[in-house]
Amino acid sequence: MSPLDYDFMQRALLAAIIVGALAPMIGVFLVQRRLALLGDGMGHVALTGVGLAFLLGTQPIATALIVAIAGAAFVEIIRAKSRAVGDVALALVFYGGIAGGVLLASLASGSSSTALNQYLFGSLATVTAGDVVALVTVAVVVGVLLVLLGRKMFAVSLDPDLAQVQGIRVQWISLLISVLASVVVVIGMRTVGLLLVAAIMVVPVAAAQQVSRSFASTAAVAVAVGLVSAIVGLLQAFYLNVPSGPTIVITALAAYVLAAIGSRVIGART
Amino acid sequence: MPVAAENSTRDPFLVSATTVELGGDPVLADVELRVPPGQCLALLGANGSGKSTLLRVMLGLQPVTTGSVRIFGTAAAKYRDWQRISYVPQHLLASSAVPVSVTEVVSAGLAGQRLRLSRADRDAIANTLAVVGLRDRRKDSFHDLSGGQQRRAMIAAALVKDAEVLLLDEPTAGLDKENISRLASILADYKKRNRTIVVVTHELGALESLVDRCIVLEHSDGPSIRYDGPAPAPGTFHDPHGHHDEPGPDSDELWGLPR
Repeated sequence: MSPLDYDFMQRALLAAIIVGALAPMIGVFLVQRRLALLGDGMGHVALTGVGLAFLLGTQPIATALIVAIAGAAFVEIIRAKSRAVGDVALALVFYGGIAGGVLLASLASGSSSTALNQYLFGSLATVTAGDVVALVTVAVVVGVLLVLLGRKMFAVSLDPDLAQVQGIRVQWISLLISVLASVVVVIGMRTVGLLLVAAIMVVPVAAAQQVSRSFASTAAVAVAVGLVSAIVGLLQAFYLNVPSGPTIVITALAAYVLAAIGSRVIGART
Repeated sequence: MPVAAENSTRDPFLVSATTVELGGDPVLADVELRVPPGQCLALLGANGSGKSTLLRVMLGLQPVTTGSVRIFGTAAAKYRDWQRISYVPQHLLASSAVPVSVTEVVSAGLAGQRLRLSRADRDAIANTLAVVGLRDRRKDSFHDLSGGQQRRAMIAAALVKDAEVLLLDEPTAGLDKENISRLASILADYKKRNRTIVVVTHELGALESLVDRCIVLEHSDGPSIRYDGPAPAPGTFHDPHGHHDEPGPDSDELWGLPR
């Protein structure tokens, strides 16, 4: 039987395609702002949202989205107010997020550690039809924001002072980039998992950097790498009967190694 | 100097009784500066004299400890009409993390005004790259350019906006003689169209003939502005250590300005 004969695989594939395409689009801004690990922290914070959903019996995606966006806003305020202590403050928020998530989930029920694992590392079977609708909706909103504000996001990432002299509200755009990162984290938590979703934002960008000379081509190549990694990784997970997050990320890492070797070979020739 | 009220919205910049302290140390003290429209003003001074800080103060990028800054008559923090102002910083903050092409750097100069680049915008970007002599490098990564070429790309990013006020922070750093005279002729053309130019520089050099007014800043116990008058500033100003914030390993040539 082909994997796509299963309904759950169709849903998982759709979810993976959405995160594979969107995550690098946001990740390219994070990498340029040297905030590659921000997505990782947002994943930790979103875990508290999942734990909260277990406890309250609410929808995990919606709850995680709210908590992660609140976390992004909080982190951005810390970054704006106090550059000096920003690093440590971020660490506090991130570790608080993961501790809170595990604590809340454990309080909810004794058997939820398996359920929590599915959110930590991704799982093929957990994507429901309702999830797919939520993911598509969120993806459309993110896409529209990128079309409308992508050039401003680029300018702020390139040089905040220069952007401010263009009349761009730098703090609002910074906040938007962090919020979009947390949204992508939540989009990816079903298939890639909260511990690894940041990798699908950053690793495809790292691969694309090796072979690109412009921001636009880096973004385009990164999206291609993200899509291929998501699809190939998901199929591997199906056949090997393992969580999908690790296979997706390892596929992306393989793409990075190939790109790095390829660019060295081409660089040596020219 | 007293400023007539009806003129205040025409003046690009009005800095009054302004002091800036960083970590308790005074960087600028008691600065009074009115820049009328059409003036070409040079801010001169040694490293640490606060000339770049003053430029950032004028743009509202640097918060002031006391005093006030007005841009076209509006408090700098509330100023919104940025279409009228262009700025060339000393460095771009994030030019190396993700590859950025020269064309993309220049297009960032229009990012505040348009959601999408029009055909006219693309033509303007191509023309501006030709003006600074980087047309054949337009698709290359900004990070792969020499220090002087990067500077020219940043100047292009400011010129493409065609604003009525142009502020440049050390625009000649890393440029060879040929490109300094190219910059001088670009600025001369700007000035002919009755636009305002504020340039922070270490030495006037080839720009001297353009400059209407020099301000020499000095770090001391008294007010920061030590000289305010026509160019050239009195010859006492001299920086014995030479200048270089960060020339970059591959500047077009070593600092070839005549002394």
